[in-house]
Amino acid sequence: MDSVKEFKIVTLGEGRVGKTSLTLKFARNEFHDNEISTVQANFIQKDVQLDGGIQVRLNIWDTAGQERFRALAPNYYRQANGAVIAYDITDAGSFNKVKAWVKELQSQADKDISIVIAGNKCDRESERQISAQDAIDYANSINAAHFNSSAKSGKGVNELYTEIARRVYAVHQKNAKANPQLSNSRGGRRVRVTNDEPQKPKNKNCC
Amino acid sequence: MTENIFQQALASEYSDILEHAVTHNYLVCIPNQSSLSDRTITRRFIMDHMIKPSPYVENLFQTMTGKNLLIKNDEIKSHIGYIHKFALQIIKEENAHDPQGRVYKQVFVTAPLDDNPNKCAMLKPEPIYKFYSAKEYIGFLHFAVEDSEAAFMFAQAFVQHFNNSYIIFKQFAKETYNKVKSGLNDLKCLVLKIEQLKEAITNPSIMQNVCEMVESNILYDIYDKLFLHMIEFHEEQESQLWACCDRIMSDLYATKLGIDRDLDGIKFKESAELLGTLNVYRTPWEKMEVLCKLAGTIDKECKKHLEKNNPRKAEKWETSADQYFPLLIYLISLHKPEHLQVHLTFITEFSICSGTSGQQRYHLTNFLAAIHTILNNEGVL
Repeated sequence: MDSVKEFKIVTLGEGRVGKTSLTLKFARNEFHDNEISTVQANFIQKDVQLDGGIQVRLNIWDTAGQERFRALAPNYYRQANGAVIAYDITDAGSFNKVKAWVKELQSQADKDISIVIAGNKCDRESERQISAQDAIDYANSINAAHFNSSAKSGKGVNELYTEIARRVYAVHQKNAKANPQLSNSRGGRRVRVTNDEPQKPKNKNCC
Repeated sequence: MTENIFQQALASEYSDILEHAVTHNYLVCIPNQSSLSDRTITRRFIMDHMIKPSPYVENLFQTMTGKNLLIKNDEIKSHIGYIHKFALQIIKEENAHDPQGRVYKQVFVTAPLDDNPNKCAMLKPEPIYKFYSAKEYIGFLHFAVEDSEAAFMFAQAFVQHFNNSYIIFKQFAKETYNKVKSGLNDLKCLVLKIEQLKEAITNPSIMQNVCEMVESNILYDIYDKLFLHMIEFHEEQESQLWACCDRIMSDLYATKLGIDRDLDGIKFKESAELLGTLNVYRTPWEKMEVLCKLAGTIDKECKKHLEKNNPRKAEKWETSADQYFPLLIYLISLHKPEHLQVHLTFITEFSICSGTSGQQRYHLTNFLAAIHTILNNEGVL
């Protein structure tokens, strides 16, 4: 029986910060080619090995970063277990967008969503516009992890996806302990069938 | 009444069936001797005549082969599981004894109860203006779990149910559409229940058969009909969508969508053809497969186009979401694939799929988001 737990990870960030390159680098890692299940530029499914021999499957959703499509984002991060928010270290504006994404996720997404921030293009250190320490401090302040990454050299790429996998798995385990009925082999969500009619929302205007 | 060839066969060649019938409180239906003259008595034929009452539905009986009959006022009517409908008279009922002296009931009928097109007392199928409750379906399911033959009959029960629902559906269209939808939701719940039961039941392979039959046999038959009516319901929405597509194509260049300039003038012929196959496939999961394949075709066509315009870019080209999403909007606006919205609604409404994160869900989300963008394009594009 397949007992690999699946998690949905959404990749967010401004256009051209290298979201797709990051996930593709992760998917096509030469040392882990045998672990790739599905690779399209915009959707990747890959198994990650965690400490203790635990294997989890990440379904990584790429999103269009253009501002004009911003309003559509909730369709993508709905029911996501984790989010990788990428910015370009050579573009201060893209880091400000990270903050906006975090705010949005905190108010709109699943309350248990895990966040990892990727400071991408770190192979261009000389052009850096965002201080690494500021980025780390910001990540700590929102209980997220921060990684400097380079889709070009591969630096930090595996680490950041392993970290998001570790985080979403930890949340899943915590929820499974708190509510064993919700736990299952598909990452914690499952439709339970009951004979109950759905409850109509109460009319707030009713006296 | 003189013992007939059916009784002889039951007592000699098929005594094990009689033994099973008596042990499990079946009634033994014996066709009139004159109706058996041109019949070969097979094991299945004998089993078609062993019936027991349903604990769930009044007047309903089930044969050992899983077909359902209705018995009322000395009349036996074919019900679920029969292709050829019939109504027969009960001549008489009496008690009999098996070789071990146990009592069982014999019911003498005017003709055999098998599914035979040449039966004398044929009836036209009657529409049943009634939707079964989920509880009754569960009742059928309990029968089905007993053996795989019954499971097949269970599947046919659903087909019949939806065929009958379709008759009403045609008459009261919109009102009944909701009922059909809720019927399908019952069905989805049932499939999920079966999946949940799988872990508990001792013979999971039987449950698997039932699941597969529900998904493939039953739904397959009703999809065409539902789809045709959905087209009618969505006609207005489709014209609205195409009007928005025309506006996009006349007001904006592809580059304004954020598409790479080197892809200017891309025709997406192959992708449009692929989307056309949505009209060929019937089931939601087949249609979903088309949506998934499209990502690969778009990527291929982009590379092909770039090879002419910018070969260096073509080598490194990956259709990221930054490109894929606007390209999807462009493709839809350019080719206006017939009934696209209906297909998407159909997939959303009727696919039995609880996953929320996989590849199929990702592509479906892209399509729904693209349609939304096209319909609400003012100020966005």
